[in-house]
Amino acid sequence: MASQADAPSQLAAPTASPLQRCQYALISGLTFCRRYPVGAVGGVLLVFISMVAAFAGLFSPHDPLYVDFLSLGAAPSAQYLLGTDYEGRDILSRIIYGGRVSLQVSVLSVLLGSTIGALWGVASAFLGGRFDIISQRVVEIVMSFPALVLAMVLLVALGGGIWTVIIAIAVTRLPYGVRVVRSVALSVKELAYVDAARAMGASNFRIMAKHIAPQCFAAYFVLATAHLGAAIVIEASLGFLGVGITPPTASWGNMLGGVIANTYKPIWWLVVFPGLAISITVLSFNLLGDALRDALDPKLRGR
Amino acid sequence: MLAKYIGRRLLYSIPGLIGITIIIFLALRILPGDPLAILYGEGGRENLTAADIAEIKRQLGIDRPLYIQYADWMKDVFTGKMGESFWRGDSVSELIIRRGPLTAEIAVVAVLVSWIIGLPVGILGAIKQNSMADYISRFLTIIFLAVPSFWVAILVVVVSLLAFNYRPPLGIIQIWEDPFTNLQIVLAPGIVLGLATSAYIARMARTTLLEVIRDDYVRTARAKGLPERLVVLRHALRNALLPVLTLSGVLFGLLLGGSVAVETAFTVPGLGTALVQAFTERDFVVVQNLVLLYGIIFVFVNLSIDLMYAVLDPRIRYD
Amino acid sequence: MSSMFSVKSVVSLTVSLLLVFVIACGGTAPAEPQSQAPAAPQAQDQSAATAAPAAQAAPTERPDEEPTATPFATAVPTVPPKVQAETPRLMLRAPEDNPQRGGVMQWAGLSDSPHFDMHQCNTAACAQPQGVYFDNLLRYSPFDGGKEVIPDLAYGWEVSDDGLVYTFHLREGVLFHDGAELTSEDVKATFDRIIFPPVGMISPRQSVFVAVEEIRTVDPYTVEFVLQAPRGFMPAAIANGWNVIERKQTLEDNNLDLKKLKPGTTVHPGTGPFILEDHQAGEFWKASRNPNYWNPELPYLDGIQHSHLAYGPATGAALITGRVDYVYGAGADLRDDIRQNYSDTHTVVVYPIPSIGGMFVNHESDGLSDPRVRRAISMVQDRCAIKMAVAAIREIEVGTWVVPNDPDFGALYREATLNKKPGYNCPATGDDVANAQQLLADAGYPNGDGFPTLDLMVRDINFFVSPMAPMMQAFMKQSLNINSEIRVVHTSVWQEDRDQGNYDLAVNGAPTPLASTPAYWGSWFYTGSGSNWNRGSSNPEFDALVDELIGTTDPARKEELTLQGAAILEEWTPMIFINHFTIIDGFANYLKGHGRANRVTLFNDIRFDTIWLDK
Repeated sequence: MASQADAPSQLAAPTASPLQRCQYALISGLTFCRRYPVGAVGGVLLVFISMVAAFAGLFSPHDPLYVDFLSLGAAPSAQYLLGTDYEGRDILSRIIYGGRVSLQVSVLSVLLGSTIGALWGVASAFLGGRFDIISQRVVEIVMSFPALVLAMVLLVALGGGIWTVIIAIAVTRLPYGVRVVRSVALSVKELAYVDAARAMGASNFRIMAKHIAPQCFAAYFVLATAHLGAAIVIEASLGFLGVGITPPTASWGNMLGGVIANTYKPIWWLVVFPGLAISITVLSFNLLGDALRDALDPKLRGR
Repeated sequence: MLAKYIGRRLLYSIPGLIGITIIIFLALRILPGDPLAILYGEGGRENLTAADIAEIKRQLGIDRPLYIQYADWMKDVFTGKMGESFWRGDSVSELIIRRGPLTAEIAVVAVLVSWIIGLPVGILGAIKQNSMADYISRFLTIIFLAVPSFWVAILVVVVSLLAFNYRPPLGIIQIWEDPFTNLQIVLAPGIVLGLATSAYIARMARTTLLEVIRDDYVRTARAKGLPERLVVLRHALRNALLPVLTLSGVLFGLLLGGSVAVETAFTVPGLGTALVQAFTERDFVVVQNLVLLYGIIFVFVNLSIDLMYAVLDPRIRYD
Repeated sequence: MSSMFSVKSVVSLTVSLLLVFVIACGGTAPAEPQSQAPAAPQAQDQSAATAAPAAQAAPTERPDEEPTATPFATAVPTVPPKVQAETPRLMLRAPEDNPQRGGVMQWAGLSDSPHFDMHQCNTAACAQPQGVYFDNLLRYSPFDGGKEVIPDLAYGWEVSDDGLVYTFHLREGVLFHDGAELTSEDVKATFDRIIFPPVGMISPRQSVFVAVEEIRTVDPYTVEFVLQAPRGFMPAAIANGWNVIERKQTLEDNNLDLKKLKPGTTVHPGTGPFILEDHQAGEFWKASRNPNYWNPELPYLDGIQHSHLAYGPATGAALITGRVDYVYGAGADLRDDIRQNYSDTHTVVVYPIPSIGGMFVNHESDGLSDPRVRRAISMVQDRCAIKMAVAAIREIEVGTWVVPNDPDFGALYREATLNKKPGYNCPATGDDVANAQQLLADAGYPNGDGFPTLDLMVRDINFFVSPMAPMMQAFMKQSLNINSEIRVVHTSVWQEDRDQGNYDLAVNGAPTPLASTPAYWGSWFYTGSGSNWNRGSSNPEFDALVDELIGTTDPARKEELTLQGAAILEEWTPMIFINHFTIIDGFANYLKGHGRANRVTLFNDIRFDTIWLDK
């Protein structure tokens, strides 16, 4: 997996027509699956997890908030496949709906953080000068907080709720976007065709949007995938510490937090299943992310 | 030349530190809720007149303009006082002195574990690339990267209670007071955190080592007929270690953040649990100082790694 | 303000009634361990205090007829003490024959005191760890779980025939930790502060003492409480574990505010059996034996370490793994575990505290102004299911309008909960749900149609956030199709929004100083009461009934009024009442010298002076 130095890194060459790009994407998709079976497995798992989360209503056997007061803390059975919690709610349904929340939070926060970060990185690289220096300082400052602690500070300040969690996690992802994309943009900036565009009188914005940003897409894509797993873990940690998504809305983190805070010999299915859900999802993100990174940008390996 | 470089790096970190303080300060001044209500407990606030409340706010210094409060805080930080807990009136610097050592020990154990486990695994993977050992180690690495450390911590706590009827000792016992008891408190969280970080180290070590092994001078050394083990140890490893060192610095942030959740799971009375408690109590004096401490530690750990780098790698130019 | 005052008097009057009963029960039920334990003297035969315990403790006892000279000239009494040489005074000792001395007891539970001023504090986090540094004027017996009132710093007391003057005789030679001697001035200063608090001071137990007109010092060892009207419960109220005797000098030196002063040997001394060695906020309290304690037999322990642990699982794990000897505030899972698996080594005790939990109702909200709606919401709550779901965290009693541990009306409570009254069936029956749905339809919301979505504000305490609020929400949704949105807020926000009426339903618990049905009613449901958190709730008929109930002494009439009151509350449903709170303590069986297995309520036995370790 690590020896594919010849992986197709020249995706989306600037001269390719839309049709060629499509063909290329299809071929490279198939090539990807053949060359990176492990990554493909991660991808398939993710598709499955996302589908279940997206169509939670179809997949979950019960209402995640429904209290079955005759089955409080019931062990896994035919009726409740993964058992119920102390409030008599179905664990499986809560994991499915919780997954929806966790995925929503991680995807949106990474999208938000990485995109703003990437745009900022492009601007920073292209404009250079004082803007670049100040940007680098700001990024450094944000990066000098442990992500979890920074997210906690923001959450306490902004108050609870799914959007504040998204924003808080997005802020912690922002500097990575700036850094990685800026470094790519810096090298692209020096390429001849950018000079050519400039010579032809293109505006700064146009050069950034048309010529530099597309070249940074591979790096951005790899980066975003790599951070999805981290975002899931941060969300879960916040929920566990009681500052994330507030009950009764299920999230993988607050399912675990409640258990530990409430009982000293917890029933095992309350502890094991949400943790497994987190681990499997993060694992899938990592597998896919690694493969994508190897495929798209060997230079980024190890970052 | 080196001294000048160190001086310049130190100087550069100052605006960053100031930025950190400003971010923390502003974030915490938009807290919802009336802190006085917490201070005076259930129903207590009803017995206070408006004048009483104004007086209390004056005593606490929260009625003044923000910039003055900020200046005061900076003064406190520089004099090492760091103010008093809003809620209990206890000195924050004392809190840090008492609880800091536990968290520091956990961090040290975690870093040691991450190197002790991560490096050999990474080296093994690189030397025996694509062997069974490599596949197993890579598989474990991938697993450990995915499993959240706080969940592992929960499992350890629950299993040790259910299976062995064991829980770590209560309270803060420093290593110089009673090393055996102290280690019972810090070892488990340290190892759990270390395992999580060791996966990153192993992966980084393997990747860089593989790259270095392909480099010319290693090829030369190998061509000279030096035994493979010697080649790896003497030539390749030294160069491969530097990126791992840098990564260790970056991971330190992950470790500090992770320790908050892991300490909570293990109920270790370290800085992490103090921070969580301060968050739930909206004790912004404690929060702002602890978060600042985390920021400063992170900045200085990475600064010292940069400097170490400069010393270890002669290729670094001091400009 | 006038309404507040009337509530206070209502509460105090009510409390009086209950306490009469508490005392009466304590008095009528003979103490079982009498043969070996020193029986605490009854209030009435005080002057002939028992000889047995004194004889047992005799060898080391400081003779009362020889007042110990103190090294502090200022503390030497100017008036000769009232000598009662012929009557040995009660000196407690452990009931066992050969209590062992030494050892440090490890205690864990809620002990992160917000401050150090016991008189101003109203959380268990103060009383639990700080009680050991002080003595009281009178105390509850540690041998019967805290039922009976026995002498403490006062070796005896008399009540005038008209019941208006209580005279307390203080022990001589009692030293504060700084060496100063206790005098009647200290007692007067203490109770003046509790009963007539200065402006800005919060005195949570003031309401119990409203009848007190004046406190007089007769001589350095005699103090009198003068009442406006007789109050049989005075000794019980005085003995409350919070009313510790502070030194007058300490109070004066600190402008009557001790919030920031750790109990210490010099600045904030007590007279208690233990001396504070070390304390870290939110972590621990370390107490060591007071070598100059006025009762030379006590304490047996060399020290106590109070470690702070929050309610619930942490305490359970600490006890079972042997890290601590005693835990306060454990979960019901620990209770079951101990009873099933650890009964050889550990004991667990469950006792009620005067506090309720449930949803406070904003009567000004759309829909909730109609009592039928409130009643419907109340009837669909399956309190037994909530009790079971909560059980992992702590034990609760299913709530009705009467109090389970009320000596008068406990039977009413049991009747209500034994599947007889609508809304209290376990599990909720189809009839209850159908009736509730009918009530809602009568109110104009058939099947919940057109009912507004309710703002369900929840205080961010684990217990409320995790099991209780979601379950209450689910019952409203599942049975009545009433939608609500849970809003978890911090305590400070909870109080602010409660005061401003920014809620429809608000989940929290509410305490009162003392336990009795009329006291609860006056406190929680009386129009304008400080603890009536149901915005805009008022029922003049109910208020009038409470007024009458408090003044009633005739048992038949009291029962009649209580039944009437419960019926009014049932129809009116001022709040969605879910539970009465209880506390669970667990301790190792090698703890001896106490009657904690029979503990009756909180804050009556927190001294640990007679406890010893049998290991």
